[in-house]
Amino acid sequence: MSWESELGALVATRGSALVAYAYLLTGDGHAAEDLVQEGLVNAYSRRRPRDVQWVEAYVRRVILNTYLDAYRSRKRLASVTHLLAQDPSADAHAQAGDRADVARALTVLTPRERACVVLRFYDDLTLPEIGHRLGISDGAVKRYLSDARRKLEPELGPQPGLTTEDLSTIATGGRS
Amino acid sequence: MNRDLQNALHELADRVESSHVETTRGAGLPLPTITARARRNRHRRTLVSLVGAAAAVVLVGGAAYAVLPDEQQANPPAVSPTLRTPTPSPTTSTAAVVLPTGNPALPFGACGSLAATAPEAPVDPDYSIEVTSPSTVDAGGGLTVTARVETPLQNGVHVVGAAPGAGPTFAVTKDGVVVAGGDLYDGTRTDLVSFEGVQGPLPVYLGRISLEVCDAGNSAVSTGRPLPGGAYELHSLVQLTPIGVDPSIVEDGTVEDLVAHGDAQPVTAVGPAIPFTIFGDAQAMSARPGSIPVGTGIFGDRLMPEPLTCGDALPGPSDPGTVAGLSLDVEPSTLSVLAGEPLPYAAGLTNRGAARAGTDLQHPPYFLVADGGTIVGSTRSDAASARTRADLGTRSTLDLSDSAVLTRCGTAGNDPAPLARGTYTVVPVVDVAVDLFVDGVHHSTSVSVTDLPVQVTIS
Repeated sequence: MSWESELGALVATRGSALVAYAYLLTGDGHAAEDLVQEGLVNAYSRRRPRDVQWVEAYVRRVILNTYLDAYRSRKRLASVTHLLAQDPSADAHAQAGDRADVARALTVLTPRERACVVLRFYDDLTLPEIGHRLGISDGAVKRYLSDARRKLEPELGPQPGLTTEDLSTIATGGRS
Repeated sequence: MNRDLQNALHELADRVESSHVETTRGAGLPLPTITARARRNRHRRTLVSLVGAAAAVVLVGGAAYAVLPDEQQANPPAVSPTLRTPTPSPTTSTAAVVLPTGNPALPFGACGSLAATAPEAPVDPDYSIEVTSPSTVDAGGGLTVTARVETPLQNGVHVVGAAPGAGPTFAVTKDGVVVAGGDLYDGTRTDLVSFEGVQGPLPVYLGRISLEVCDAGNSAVSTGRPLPGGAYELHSLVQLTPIGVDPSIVEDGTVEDLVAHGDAQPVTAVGPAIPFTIFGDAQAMSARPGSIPVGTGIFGDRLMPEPLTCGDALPGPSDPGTVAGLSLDVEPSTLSVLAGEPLPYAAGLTNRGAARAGTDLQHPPYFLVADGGTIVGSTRSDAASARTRADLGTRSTLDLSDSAVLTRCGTAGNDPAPLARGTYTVVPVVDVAVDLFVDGVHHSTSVSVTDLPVQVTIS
């Protein structure tokens, strides 16, 4: 299968799931689509092994890195602007159901705090894995999660799972 | 463990995914755009490995293409074209020009063939040629054309194949009979090139069709004489051989080998018939527009010149004779711009050399900004790239008009910062990889083409 065919198949079968993943990071549907597009372009700008699962995982990493790179470098102001906190009430995805509380709450986090929360509670990574993924120390991961807890609790109520002393270094067993 | 947050994130993601599927019905992600951008980058990486970290690039939005009028067209006759009428043009004109008569045995495109006959390979309507050319022209000259070959998608991906390096063949018909034409290389280039492989899509072709009677192998025909005035049609066709959809197909061997040893059957792409009128009569073909000699000493170096950097001295305008016959003409639309605001400019890359030039631009022109003769900034940016390929005939111009923000040294790319207020000397530059065919010999080189400096005030 050519890389174009592989890309087409991935977009057809997993495109929306990748958008959802990017949405967890950005909190904005259009920004999520842009991020997935960037991720796919970056991923397929290089030669890849042809295992779709591996490719999807790779694209998720590219999405995460692109999200954080955009924040770090501010190389495109428009991209950065819509990656920052917004009122999720204007977003159709967030309007559906009481999960809008979570979407709204996540907007108070910085990109790195948000990335740590997503990697921990969505990707089910351990602290060392998160640190490795983000290129930061375990201590820094704990600090970001601790800061996230401090910001999220006023929005979501007590979050004992985010207490740094309780954070395990093993996977939580959630879905990946 | 926080099950609430974990569950909430997964439920949120599931909801977003479902919503995305329902609202976009699979059309939410622009697959063709993603594919095209990835393909460009894959190719660009190959070049970047050659040029190092040279090229920071700027997005070109909707590049257009144009052909300079011939010198004779630049000096129009005193009589307004609207007052002129086509000269009646029987098969034998008053100047005794004898045109080929139709031969139904010839495949379409050959001199003397009929427009109604089929070309050698069957026409595939999935392929097409877009052609633009003027509707009127003086006798004794040439017809400028711009052509772009469009290839189809197969299951969402581009078909990969082989095409003539010379590009399309053009046929001028009179009353349904081919009386003039040829390719843009006068038949001297016979190699094959790939399309949608590593090289990406075929280039845009800009050139000139000589309006002289073609050679039909019949001594009674006025071969080489200017076509007499009258109504004609311009046809275009090109034989293509699709060989798959995987661009890597063309990495392992020559295109010629793939075509020769594969089982793919060639097809013909055709463009629309474009009517045009020749005014007047001429006894002889006018001289081709002047062109300058190109020093062969520049050939053989495919490495892009090292880009100038901050602190370097500002370069002067390049000599076309030393940069593959190319010249860059840039005209900013204003000489005063607010800090951080884009500077719009009209730009054209012209082939002033004697040979056709296959040009490959990885990024559009950029400005080097100097204060006191030393480079202090540029318009290089780390934004998205846009590759442009064009096959330029003599005096053909590729339109590269765009806009760019003047930024100071050390800030271009990730975090552009505007220059301080003041007046700066600005030199336009474009980096081009060039393929030239001189007397049937292929030469490759890479050059940086610079224009005259202009003074720009930032306020």
